[in-house]
Amino acid sequence: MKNLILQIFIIFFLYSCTHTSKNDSASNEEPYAVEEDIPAQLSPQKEETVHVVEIRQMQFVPDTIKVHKGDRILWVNKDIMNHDVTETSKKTWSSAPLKTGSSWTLVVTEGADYYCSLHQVMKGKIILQSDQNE
Amino acid sequence: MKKITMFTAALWLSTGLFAPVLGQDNPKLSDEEVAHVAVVANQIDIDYAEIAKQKSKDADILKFAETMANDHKAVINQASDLVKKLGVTPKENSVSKKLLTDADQTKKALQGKTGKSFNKAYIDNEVAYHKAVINAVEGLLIPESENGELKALLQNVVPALKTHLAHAEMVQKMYK
Ligand SMILES: [Cu+2]
Repeated sequence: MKNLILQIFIIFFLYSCTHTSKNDSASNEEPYAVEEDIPAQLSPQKEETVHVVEIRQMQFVPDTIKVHKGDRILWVNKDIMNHDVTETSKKTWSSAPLKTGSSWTLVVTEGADYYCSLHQVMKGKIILQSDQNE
Repeated sequence: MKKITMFTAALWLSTGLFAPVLGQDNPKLSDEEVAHVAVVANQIDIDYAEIAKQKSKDADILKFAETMANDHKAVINQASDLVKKLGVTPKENSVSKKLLTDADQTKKALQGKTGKSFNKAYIDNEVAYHKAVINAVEGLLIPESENGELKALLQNVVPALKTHLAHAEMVQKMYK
């Protein structure tokens, strides 16, 4: 199992390198940093939009957010307690517990309901807007 | 002795009898005493959570207890920082004593239960306890606080207590 993960990692790593060098053959002083900072390279034609959701006083603020596919949402914990961000229906994605001041980013691929698994009554919603009128 | 505490503290902490009518019986608390009540009230719920961690095997109960322990520790840490900053020493008083004697009885009752009946008793108590603490914080501790930062800290804790109550009520429905 570990070997498999390692292999996938290596394949991905090699792919990343070739992928990066194709796009960025002129100056690649820090190819790894570039790769880490911009995982959404798959859609380089669009500018990245980052939406911020603050967690404070036991609430996601705003609790409903409208985004486009490929946008990022950044959750920032401004509360004194730990919180997390967990997809509701099948726990498709989940952050680790976020301490005060910590944040977590999701690249949105689909709309979702989410909640805090530590305080199960804390809820939020991601609504996907269509790109058709662009 | 018992009668005095009945008049001062018990009314504030029992959810049913809490009412603004009690104006004349409202115990006067200094900020030192308010801080003590706040710390004791949080510590008691951490103690309940510790009992749950020892006695329950139920995943929902254990996860809830873990959250209670962590959150109430966070509040105590914040209160301790503020108390240091203000140079205040928390002082024992009739309300915090009453909280502790009641909690001792509850802990004994919880220790005497096992399995499903423990889970039910624990979560029922969490619902009742959070209701009582919300009443005490809103009806007694906040109005009694003179220092603005102490008052603000207590006001900031209310949403957490209400979220805990809603969460406890949600878990409680599983044990009916
Ligand atoms: Cu939370």
